[in-house]
Amino acid sequence: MPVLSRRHFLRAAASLAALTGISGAPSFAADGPRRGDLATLIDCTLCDGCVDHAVALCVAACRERALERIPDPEQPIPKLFPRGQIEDWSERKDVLDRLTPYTQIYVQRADVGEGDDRRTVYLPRRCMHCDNPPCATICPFTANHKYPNGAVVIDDDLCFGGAKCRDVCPWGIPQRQSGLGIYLNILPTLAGNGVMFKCDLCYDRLMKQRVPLCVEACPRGAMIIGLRRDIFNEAERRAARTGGRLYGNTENGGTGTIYLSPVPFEDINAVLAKGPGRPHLDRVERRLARASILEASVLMAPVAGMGAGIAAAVAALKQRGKDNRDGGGCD
Amino acid sequence: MTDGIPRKQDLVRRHGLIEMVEHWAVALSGIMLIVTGLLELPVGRRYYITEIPGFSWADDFFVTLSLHYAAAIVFVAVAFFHLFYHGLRGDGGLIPRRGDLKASIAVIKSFFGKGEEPPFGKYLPEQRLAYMGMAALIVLLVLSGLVKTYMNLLNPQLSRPIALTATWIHNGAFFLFVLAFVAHIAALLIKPNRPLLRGMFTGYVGLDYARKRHPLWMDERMKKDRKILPGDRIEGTIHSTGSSSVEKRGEQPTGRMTDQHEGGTGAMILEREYLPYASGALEPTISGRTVDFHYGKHHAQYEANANKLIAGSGLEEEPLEIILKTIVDDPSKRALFNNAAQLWNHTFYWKCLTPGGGGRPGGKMLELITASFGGFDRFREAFHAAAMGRFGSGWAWLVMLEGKLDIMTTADADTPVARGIKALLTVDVWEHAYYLDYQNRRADYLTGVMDNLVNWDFALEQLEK
Repeated sequence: MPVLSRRHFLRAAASLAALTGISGAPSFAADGPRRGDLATLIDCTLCDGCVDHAVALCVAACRERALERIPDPEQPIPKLFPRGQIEDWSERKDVLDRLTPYTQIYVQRADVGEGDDRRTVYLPRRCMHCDNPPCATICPFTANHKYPNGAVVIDDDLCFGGAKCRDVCPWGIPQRQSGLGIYLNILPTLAGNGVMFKCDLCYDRLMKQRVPLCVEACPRGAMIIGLRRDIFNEAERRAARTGGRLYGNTENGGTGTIYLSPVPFEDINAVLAKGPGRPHLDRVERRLARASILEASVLMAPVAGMGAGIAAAVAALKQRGKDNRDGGGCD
Repeated sequence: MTDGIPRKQDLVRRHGLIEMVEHWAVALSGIMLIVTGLLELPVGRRYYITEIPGFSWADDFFVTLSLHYAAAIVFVAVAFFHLFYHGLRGDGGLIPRRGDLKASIAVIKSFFGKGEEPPFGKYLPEQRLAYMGMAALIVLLVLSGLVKTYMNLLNPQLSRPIALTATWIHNGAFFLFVLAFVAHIAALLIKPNRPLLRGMFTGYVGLDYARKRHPLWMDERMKKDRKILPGDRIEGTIHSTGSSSVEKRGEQPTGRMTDQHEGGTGAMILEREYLPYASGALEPTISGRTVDFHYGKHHAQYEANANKLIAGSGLEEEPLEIILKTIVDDPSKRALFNNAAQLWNHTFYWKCLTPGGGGRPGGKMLELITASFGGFDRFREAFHAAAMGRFGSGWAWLVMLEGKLDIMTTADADTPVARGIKALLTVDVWEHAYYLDYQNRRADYLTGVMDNLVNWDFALEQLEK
């Protein structure tokens, strides 16, 4: 599959932006997608992992922001009772081959195929910004929330670092830094364990009509962000044109991030280094979808209870009226 | 469910089937919600809960959330059922009333041996307060929980301020709900409350317990069972115990009634009649609290004592007035006389009072008073003076004596009816009749009764008998 030259791409991107508002350029139109639902296309047919750079530029830009924003924990970090591991990345901020609180995007590399077919695929990995994110649903304090523009954001002032979000994330994306946050002011040894960090789609920049740093930093325009419908259409179009595959559009009930790959994701997944902080590329079903019938029943329960209550009361009142009539004459 | 006539020996139906189903559905789903709610904090693994046999799911948040939803379906449905079912039926027994807070403090003090419990209706004042508190928490939990569920199912991008508000209302109410649940269980460990526990499992409580602690409830049931409504004129019905009952209607009121509604339990031969009005109906002249004590404790005690003492006296088959006349001068039956006379006097007293009464009578009564005393105002002064002059405990009476109206007072339990004198009206001047409201000010109590409560129609009826 031919790789578009940068010049070629920029021309295509410019015309595309003019048509749809999709943009690889560093700003939105004034009344742009801040209000709408955003999605990102990560085109792995374009990403070359920034092999000419010491650190991929998207990773470097993101890390710079993270390092600025995350204060160092006060040492010693309180031990947990009765058990539980503290997670301290503050001495290992330069870990780049997995997700950490400081590395909220990193580039996976996969060598797929043999001989002449052998090719290397690079995948910048970060939070997928699910359509119905279990990490936010399950957060006991609503510290984690999906905003109208599609970004799933952890409020680091309110997060206790219990890591439920990581447990329920199909990709285990959020990463914990112990020794930070509100839990230190409450019962630090008994409840909480720090603050969870993950990509927030540069929420602050989005609110100022600016694209996320990773999108802005990419020298090959491999990431584009825009209105969800447009991005999805563009992803389908590119996939059809190049015979590429998509990942993310249906995962976990749908996400705000689509990967386009020239080779099947199953093949990439087979050779990928996976583990904590190193997300897989499995097909993902939305587990909470199985609870939808329960959720719907909870929402219907008031109607059911009300109906039964009215019916029973009417029956009781009828009976009471009858008793009074029957009883009236025979006292 | 209505409070039916008890069919089981020595038991009183306290909860109907619907109430019991409601209670246990809310209780079991509520416990499930507490457990799964606590597990929504990530404590399952950290606190070794997953290692309890059968709790290996405790750290799987998809499972805990699904269980939370499943329990919520029951909880929410029953909460709404409760609201509409009892709301439409007009069941208000658990709605707090004025004075409940004060009364609750008295009850709680009595648990620690300070003071005596006041007489209760079906529900204790602190039960009403606890119900309201619990109900308020459930309203908050249900509404905020519905918002959260709506967000999770239909609108994950709900505005964050709404999501945060719902979450923190849910969390705060959850915390208080757990405390309320613990308090609810703790209340059942307190000895006087323990008989209620059986009620929630079987629907029945002991008759002795109900009579002793909930006399006002029992009175209400009696009224309902006899299908007489408050304010109806009381028939002074005399039954002889046994199957061949003879009814003489229109007699002087008497405490005597067959024990038809108790299923033969606890041979109650002499009974006070029910109050012809609600206990608060005489306010502001006589407080509901005074009536509750006076009727629910004092009058009840005379009734209980009289029944105890009459056993084996050979008078069990006689009407109350005959008993009084028979033993009035028998020193060996002094205790029985005192209690039986007080039983009669009080029944009579309650009927001499009526909300909206008092003031100047009309018609024949006024004519008679004028003829006998030289005018209503002179009667009032004389009656007031007599009642004030009664030293210690006793009664002031308006009686018919030798074709004329007259005023007399009696000491302690003594009563004109025992002497064959027709009584038209009485005012209780025992301190227990007015002390809670007026302390030592007997004159204010008397003035209030004469101005606002005297039932002249009843007095006239007595005259015409």
